[in-house]
Amino acid sequence: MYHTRLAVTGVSVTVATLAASLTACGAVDKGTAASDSGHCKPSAVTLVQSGRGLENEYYVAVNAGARAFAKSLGVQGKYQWIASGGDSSKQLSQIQSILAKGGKCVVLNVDPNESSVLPAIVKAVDKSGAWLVTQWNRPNGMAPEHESAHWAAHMSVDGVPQGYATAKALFKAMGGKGAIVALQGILDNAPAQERFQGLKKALKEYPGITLLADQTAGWDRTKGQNVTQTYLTKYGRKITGIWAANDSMGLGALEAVKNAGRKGQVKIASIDGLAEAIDQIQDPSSGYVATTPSTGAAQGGLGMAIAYAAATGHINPDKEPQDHRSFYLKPMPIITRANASAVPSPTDATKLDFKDLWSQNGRPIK
Amino acid sequence: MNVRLEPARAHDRRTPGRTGHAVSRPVRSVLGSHTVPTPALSVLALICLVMLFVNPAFLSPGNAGAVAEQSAVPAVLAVGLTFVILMGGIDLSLEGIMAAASMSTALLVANDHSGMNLGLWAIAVGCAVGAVLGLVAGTTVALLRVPSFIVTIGTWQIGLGIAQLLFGETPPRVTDESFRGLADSKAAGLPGIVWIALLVVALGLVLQHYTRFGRYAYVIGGSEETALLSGVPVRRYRAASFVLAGATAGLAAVMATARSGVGNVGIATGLLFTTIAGVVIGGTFLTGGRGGVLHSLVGVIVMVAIGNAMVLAGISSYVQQAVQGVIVVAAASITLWRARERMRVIK
Repeated sequence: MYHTRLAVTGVSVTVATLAASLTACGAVDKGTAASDSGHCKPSAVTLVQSGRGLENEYYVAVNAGARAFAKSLGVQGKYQWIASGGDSSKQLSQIQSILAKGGKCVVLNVDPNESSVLPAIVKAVDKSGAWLVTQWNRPNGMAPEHESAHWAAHMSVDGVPQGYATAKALFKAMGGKGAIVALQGILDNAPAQERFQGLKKALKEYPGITLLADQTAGWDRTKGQNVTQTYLTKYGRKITGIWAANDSMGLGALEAVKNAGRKGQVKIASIDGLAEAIDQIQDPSSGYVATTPSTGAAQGGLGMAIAYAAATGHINPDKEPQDHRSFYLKPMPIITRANASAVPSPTDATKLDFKDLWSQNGRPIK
Repeated sequence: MNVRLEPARAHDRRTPGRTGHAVSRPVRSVLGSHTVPTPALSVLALICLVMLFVNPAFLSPGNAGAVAEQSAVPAVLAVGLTFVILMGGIDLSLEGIMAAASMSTALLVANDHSGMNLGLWAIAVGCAVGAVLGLVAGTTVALLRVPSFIVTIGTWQIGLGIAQLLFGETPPRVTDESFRGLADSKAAGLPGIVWIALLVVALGLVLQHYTRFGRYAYVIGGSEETALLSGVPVRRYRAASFVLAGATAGLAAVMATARSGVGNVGIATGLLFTTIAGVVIGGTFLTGGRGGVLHSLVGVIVMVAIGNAMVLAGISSYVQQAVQGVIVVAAASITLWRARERMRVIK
């Protein structure tokens, strides 16, 4: 009798596991919450924005955008920013403790510290029935439309048009001929790869421009300065342009160019829209020609707005089309001397329309 | 107690059996002694030799200047760190200390954030910020007897926290041209920060050879028990070594801030690796008691030269990190070759 019961338990456990794994393999796991969309009252919602830290201009803009959304609802007191400090396990435990406290009506807009921490975050959110939008990083093959309604959407910024447009502006400023060096980001980051791909696309259209060498400078200003200094001694006056995958490295390169006494002769273009880069673009003697507008406020504000809409039942994520679940933001026109003075501050979220959730959607992420 | 202070090199002989040998061959005695970082210098020579064939531009005066400029900040860091390591401790906090010192310096010279304009006095403040954080670490290690490894991880976080508090929405940009000029303006073909670094190295050498602090560093690192039994106030000297390391980290942050022109929380990203690897490759033992300022200087230059040489050699970014790791391990093996036979604890 005892043995039989044990066996039965064993079988039922196996069946349960099987069932669970089948559900996991299935196209759509509806999550644990019975309903298809949220029923949270606006007053019951907690808004949480997670990113690395506010010592970084990009996250200052993200925070400003998310805060602007909270303000538009009149619930600034319910908004909180949590900083992971670049530590994935810290980020996960911060989110878990907020979920334990706030339950179903927690609205999260998360920039996962790295793609590998995302599955655990999605699982925790799904389990507690909260609502999540993610930014930038996700593991290959993992997408909101296949996982859970509670993971409302994933948005990112397409680096290819950014790299392409800034490179083209650089080449134009160089008169369509000359030689450049490129400073890359951390090579296994998707934005680093996409931006460089954009540069290569532009190079094909400008046969007069040669790429002498490319090198990672780890998104870092000092490394950008050091690598550029070394390139300037290696290639000397051959270099007439520098393309950098972000503004920090571009600004480092500018310092190296200045110290080599070649300020203005070497043109520089980069990506991200840091305030300092925009200032340099307005100074014709600097040689800085282009950057892209900051996407931080849009990612913070709209990300939060989508998750909030799901939590309050304004949208039902499962009924939304694929390009509302995984998408790139619409590419924005780059910043050059022509428009640099009119560029709004990166923390300015007044242009964002939180009623029109999909206004900034670009192409879907496959 | 009245200890007569002689230059360290007079004490630093090899085993007695070999001493006679060394006297008869003065060249070998210099090469074989522990006071000259011969192995690290030979690694540097090897890099130069290889680069002579790969890309002779490595040896051009322009590139030598670039290597010197890029070595200046880690060299200043290494001088302070050397004394901590000589006493058998470790200081991991330099990235945090540099973050705090960089932000405070940038906000105290003329800048686009605060209305402050202390001019060059900000340099002293930058060093003081570092020294105070070093004092926190030093007293905790010395008085509470907590291992320096964990204490300095703590002060690293404290420094980062202070820097983040000071950060507004954008990094403060330095507008004080005389402060920027410290790094940029050239004398005898070398930028200002190189001269500052040389001065710090010279002071470090004086400290190491001719002061009680420097001499006791070897005694404490060689055998802390002996030092204690001989009445050396070990705790006080150990705490002082962290203050010195903090102050040099503060100065390094000032130099880096002057060079890049902004106060930056991430100003020291990756410098901990360059500096500690440099100190070890130079031949300063992590267990303490051997090595010195000159060793660390050469080690740091080796580290910077490796990075520079790889860019000049056109090695793909994708394999560079691994190649750098291999070179570091190989260089460390070469420089520590002679130490391998001794009864030595490797940690």
